[in-house]
Amino acid sequence: MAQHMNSVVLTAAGETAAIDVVRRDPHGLVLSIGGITYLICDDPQGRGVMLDGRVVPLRLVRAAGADEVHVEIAGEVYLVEIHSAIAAASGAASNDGVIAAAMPGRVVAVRVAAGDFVETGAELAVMESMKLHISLTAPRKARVLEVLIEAGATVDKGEPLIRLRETTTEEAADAPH
Amino acid sequence: MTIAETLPAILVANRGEIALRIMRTLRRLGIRAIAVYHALDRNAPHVAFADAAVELKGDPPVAAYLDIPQLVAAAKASGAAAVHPGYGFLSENAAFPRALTEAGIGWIGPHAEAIAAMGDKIAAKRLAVQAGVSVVPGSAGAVAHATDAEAAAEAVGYPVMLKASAGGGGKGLRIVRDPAELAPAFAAAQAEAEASFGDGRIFVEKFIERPRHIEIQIAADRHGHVIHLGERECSLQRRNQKILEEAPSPFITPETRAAMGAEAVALAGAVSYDSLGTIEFIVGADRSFYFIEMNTRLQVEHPVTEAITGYDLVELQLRAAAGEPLGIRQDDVRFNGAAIELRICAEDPDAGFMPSTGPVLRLNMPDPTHARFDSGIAAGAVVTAAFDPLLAKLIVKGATRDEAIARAVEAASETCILGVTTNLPYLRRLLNLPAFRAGETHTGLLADAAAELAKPELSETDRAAMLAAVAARADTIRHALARLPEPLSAIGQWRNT
Repeated sequence: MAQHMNSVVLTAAGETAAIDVVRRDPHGLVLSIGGITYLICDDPQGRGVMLDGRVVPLRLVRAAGADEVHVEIAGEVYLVEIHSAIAAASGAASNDGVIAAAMPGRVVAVRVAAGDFVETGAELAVMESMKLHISLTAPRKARVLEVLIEAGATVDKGEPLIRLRETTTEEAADAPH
Repeated sequence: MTIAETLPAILVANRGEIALRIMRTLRRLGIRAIAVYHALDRNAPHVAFADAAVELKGDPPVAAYLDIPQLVAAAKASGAAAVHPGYGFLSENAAFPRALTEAGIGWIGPHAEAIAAMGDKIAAKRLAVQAGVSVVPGSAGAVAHATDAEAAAEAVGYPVMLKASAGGGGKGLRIVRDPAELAPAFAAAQAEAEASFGDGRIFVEKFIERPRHIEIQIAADRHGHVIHLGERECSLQRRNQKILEEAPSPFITPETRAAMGAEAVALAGAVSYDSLGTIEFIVGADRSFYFIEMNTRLQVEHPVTEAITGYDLVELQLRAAAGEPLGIRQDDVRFNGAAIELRICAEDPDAGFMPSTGPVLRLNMPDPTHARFDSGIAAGAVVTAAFDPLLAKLIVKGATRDEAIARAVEAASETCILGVTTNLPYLRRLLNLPAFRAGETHTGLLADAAAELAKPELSETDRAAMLAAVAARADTIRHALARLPEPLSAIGQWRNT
């Protein structure tokens, strides 16, 4: 399953799911969850959401600055984690140049080694989470300082995978081709 | 003299929901309410509500609320005429009222000797026996040989429990249902007790099967009047702590209520009790009842008694402390309808009831016309491990028990606490447990029904709705939507809730 810009990966109650936006509809959003499409919008009366025209009561809150949404539904409470898979896929690294796992999963492939020079957008590694493959790419021209994982490794969310250092044009030009 | 003239200012030496609840009665009676707080509670509702507040130092924070010299100094400095201890903390520590008395400050509670007498469990049981109160029958002390144990067991009737004198943690404990099993069980219990505690002394006690925990509310004054305000059924417990209480008990007949009430009044009289108190009993399947202990303070679950009797128990406590006569005769007490209290705690029932911490990100309270919500939290508060996990109590009343349960279900569904994990979802499951609905409660019910009370699976539809609702709020989707050239009207339907 390809990861693209109009999707999000969520984990709830230990299960991870990818949700894709199929299209926008005058009545709400058409989303695909596990291959099934749903039309969703907020219940105009504020009771919860409308799923395919039926009210499903729920209440939720998102903590400021956290990729977590607390949801109360059917009398039970769930914590839903939003994985910034898109950010990882587009190669956003933290300021210190560490590429970290955006969600828990397994490292399927490592494409680079320490010392390599990489171009912006180059694939560094591929992760798998619930059969979803996510490509981790270089956010900018950089040199690989350290590869902290091996293919096959199981990693937690936030675990550092690869350390990069941004390179200058001259540095990159000096690199062996 | 009005009570506000006798007691113009009262310091509440507590925090959380109970401090706020006490202050509400103080406010209604025109008494100045003085709060105390540890820095962690600086923004707590009880501090905001009070007319004045005094900061206490403590490390760990709980020590602030247990510090007698600091509290006495705070009471003096703030001009308090008396101190209300609430429950927990220093409420049953006789040294506190003694220190206050020395400082010339009043105490909203019973006299210190009654607290001390009831605080010693062995002395309390002895007092109970003297007052003619039923206690669990058993051998008079340790039994030396299996034959003595057999004689004691015959006398109290099977099943019996063999208990280690030095006991604890179930070591040296045996339940014997058949006389033929007694001798081997006695030998095993003795050996286990010897090995565990270095003390093999064993005593015999009648074993109460599927016991209920039912308590009697007492009200007394300083003029020798004592009455009871009926019972509370408190059998639903986890780790020996109550989580749902009701009044009246669905199990108690008027005759049993009267008999338990009479014994409770007798015990209170035996210690010249002069305030509000509770006498706890265990009750067997045959409605035989046995004294366990007396709580010489306001109980957490007092609101269910208030709901069915119409009395404000804190007011009764204040009037007694002000020296006013009770003014209520036993015949005046009427019980109307049924009430249920749910204790909402910061804990995770799906992880062994472990206490939880975290921020209260969302708080919805139930409709106040149908439910009372005694809460010590506010949205934005952070629940820490520093204090008791009790966050709030939800109390409902109905004309009948079934109506009260229906209202509890409704009020529990209106209530919402998100951010910190609470037991509210578990309490909702409990309200629907068939054994609870049938009134078949006992202290082991929550453990026995653990499978029925486990978190249910989410239906496919609900799961899809949950994921879709969250996905629609995810930044990536919002950004993607902003790029999609579709009708703009659709996005207007999304609100940040």
